Amino acid sequence: MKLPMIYSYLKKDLDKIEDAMTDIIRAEHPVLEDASVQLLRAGGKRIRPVFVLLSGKFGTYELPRIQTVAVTLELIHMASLVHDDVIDDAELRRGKPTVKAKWDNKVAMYAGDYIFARSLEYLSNLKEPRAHQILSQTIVELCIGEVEQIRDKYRIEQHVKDYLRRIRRKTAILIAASSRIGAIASGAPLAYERALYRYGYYVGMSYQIIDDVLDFTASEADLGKPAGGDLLQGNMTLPALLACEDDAFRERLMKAFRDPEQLNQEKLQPFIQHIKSSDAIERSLAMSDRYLQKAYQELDKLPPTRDRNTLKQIARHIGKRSS
Amino acid sequence: MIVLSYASMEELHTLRKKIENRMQQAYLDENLDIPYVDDYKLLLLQTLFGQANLPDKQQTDYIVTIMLIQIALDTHDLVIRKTKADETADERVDRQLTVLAGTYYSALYYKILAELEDIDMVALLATAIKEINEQKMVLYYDTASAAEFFHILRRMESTLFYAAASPFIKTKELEPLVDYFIISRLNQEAFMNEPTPITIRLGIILEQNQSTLTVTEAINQELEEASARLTRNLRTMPQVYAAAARKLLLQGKRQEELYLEEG
Repeated sequence: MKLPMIYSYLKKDLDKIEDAMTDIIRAEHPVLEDASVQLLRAGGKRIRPVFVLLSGKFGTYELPRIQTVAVTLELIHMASLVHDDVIDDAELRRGKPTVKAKWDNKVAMYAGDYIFARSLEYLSNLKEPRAHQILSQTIVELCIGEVEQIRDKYRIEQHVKDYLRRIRRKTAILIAASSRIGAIASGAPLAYERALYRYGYYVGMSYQIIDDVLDFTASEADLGKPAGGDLLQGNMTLPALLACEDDAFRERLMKAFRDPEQLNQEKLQPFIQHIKSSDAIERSLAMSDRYLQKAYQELDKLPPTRDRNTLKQIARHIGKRSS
Repeated sequence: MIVLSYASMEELHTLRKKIENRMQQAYLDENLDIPYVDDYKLLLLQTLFGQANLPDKQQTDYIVTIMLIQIALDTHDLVIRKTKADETADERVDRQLTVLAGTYYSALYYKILAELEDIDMVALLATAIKEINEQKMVLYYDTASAAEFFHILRRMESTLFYAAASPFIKTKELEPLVDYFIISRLNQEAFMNEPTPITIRLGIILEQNQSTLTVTEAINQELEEASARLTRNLRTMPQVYAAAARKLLLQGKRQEELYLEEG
């Protein structure tokens, strides 16, 4: 089953969110408007709004309030993507030219800042200080996570714990915040709010680990870029870290990382092959699965509704995804 | 060097320290230049919020927040237009961290105000940031003459401060101060040792217009005109703002000269 089929009953509300996002990113300057629209049209799974909507179902579900949170979370994610493309100097995102490729880095910076400001302006309609405190703390941590990712590039001598802390900040906490703030906006009981936060966190961790595994195992067609991109950029993801438990492999990779400018897709092939044929992939997937199990346990703390079931199916889908 | 009493200098120094402490992030600090904190903008914010009858802590929090936004906006301006094909590893890290530093400072503004539960101020400042990014697009992509460029720059530099002060002070009272901001910005440009996004863009405009002026000459000309306008406006603005404006205008000038110009 495709992911959107799992939550097809939310389609009407998700369409409204999409319309609201289109309205909100309108800008006076034509290039700013085009860049923002281009970002929006590049699409994406819109998984954060889905988590917000589903979490909102555990309280009083009033779409205008829940929508405010869902739109904001997705726009903040979009703003971070347009800046990430400048950081990674990426030409393509989901097979389409990035804002920085179509215009330039400056337009991408201003479009990202514009969307970020618009999203905060929009969220200020929600007069729930706690929601703002959680979100602002999340954004600060997100930035620190990205800074640490740059700091840790080409650093072989790092612990799995470093990696987990990085992906916690990079991915998991925004999904966790989406779930929690969705619950806050609906006035859900505190116990549900906490369970939803932890569910989002564990799902986010699992999601990122699988993403990092797919970077080695998926085809170029599925990824929209050559496999092994993370390693090429010096990012030590879980499969690479686990493979480094083999001393000979670690030595070879360390040697290759000493001169990153000389690294290319061809030179990386033996490393990618080694990781794929070792038990690193299997062990990474097992760790992802452990996070999923923890996510399921959190769901047990929620009332048995269709929405709880949907959250479970989404988690299961994330665990099985292949692209 | 700003001309202030010892007590005021101490206050500015304390504010500056608070901003720097808030911005601290080990890896960013290690790898990026320390962001420029404009003392004259600090001085004006201190004056504005001093008029607003706010508790000291709230005043300080607002000033730190607004300066963080200004620094965030300035930091993102430093991201180069096109990534160099032959970019070195150091240049790459610098570009990447510049993007993240701007976002980080911007996130801190939101965090401070969220902790204060001041959601209305979050909205007000977000609206200003949105407008400034629109103005940046015009400044860097549409301005066709130096006059147009300085006109947009004046608006861009004042938007954040007017927005922040608007709940407490009548906008009409602030209007005569508009040149304060462009003077402090152009002084900041002069302080830099290397070309900045502002001077680079101005250089392109001057070249396109086949102007005989150099970038420095055009900036000095605008500084003179803006200083003359601000000096003329000193008489019509409330005393406290006039005092702050005089301090800005006094840079490199003797007090008597300023009085002569005002007279």
